[in-house]
Amino acid sequence: MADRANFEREALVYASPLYSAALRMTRNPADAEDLVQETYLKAYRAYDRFTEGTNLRAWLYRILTNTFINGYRKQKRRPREIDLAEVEDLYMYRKITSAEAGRAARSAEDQVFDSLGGEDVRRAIDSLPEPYRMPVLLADLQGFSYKEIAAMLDIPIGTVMSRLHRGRKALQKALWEAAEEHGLLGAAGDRK
Amino acid sequence: MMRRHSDSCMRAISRIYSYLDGEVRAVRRVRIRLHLRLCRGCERAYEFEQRLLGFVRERVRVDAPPEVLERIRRSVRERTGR
Repeated sequence: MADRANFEREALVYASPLYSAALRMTRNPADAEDLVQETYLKAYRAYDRFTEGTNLRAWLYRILTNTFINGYRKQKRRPREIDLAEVEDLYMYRKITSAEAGRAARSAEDQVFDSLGGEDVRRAIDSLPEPYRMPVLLADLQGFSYKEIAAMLDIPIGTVMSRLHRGRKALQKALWEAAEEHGLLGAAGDRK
Repeated sequence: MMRRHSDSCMRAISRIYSYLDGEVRAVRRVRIRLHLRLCRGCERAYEFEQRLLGFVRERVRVDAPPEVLERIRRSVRERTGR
């Protein structure tokens, strides 16, 4: 059993990463701040039920995720489908290797990464429908295991895997489109 | 580019994310690692995906502004009465 007296010291160190995750969930700074505050309030109330020595970070993310799902999301639970026709596995990698057409592989790859800024990546994540965005956030940005994500989102592990798979494909498609918009790949070949 | 589409290439590519996520059991993990050592095409694809995951993680992280952190801290303190 955890002692509430320690709550501030133990839990507040996660405020900034929680805010970063909340921002990608709500896509809005004011909502993200409220979400984190509410998460801490709930966590404080429940802290005597938290088992010391277990993963406090995962516990806080679970509360954050639940609070978001139950209160902040504006869309309905039914997953909006994402159009992934013609988006195969290794989407970006295949695009790059075909665009480069025999040139040194690394340079085309470097060009793509160099052309993408934080804003492009954040916008690409934000474009994912929520059921896909949540597993991507929790796995790729926070490094949680499939099992932990399944518990946080209250869905089976198989569903975590398939949504993560589709979410990552959609993310690659969005990132590729952003790179194309920057026009840096136009010089790489005669595609389009 | 992945020119040779052997069965082990297909297997390796289908498990690329589980492998990178550390969600593949030991025996299979060893088998994939061995395949990557032998197959340059798959190894390159894995390296790319790994780089992309790291890139996304690094680019997306946003530090909370100090004033936001301060407000969060204050609200926690008010509630905890400390």
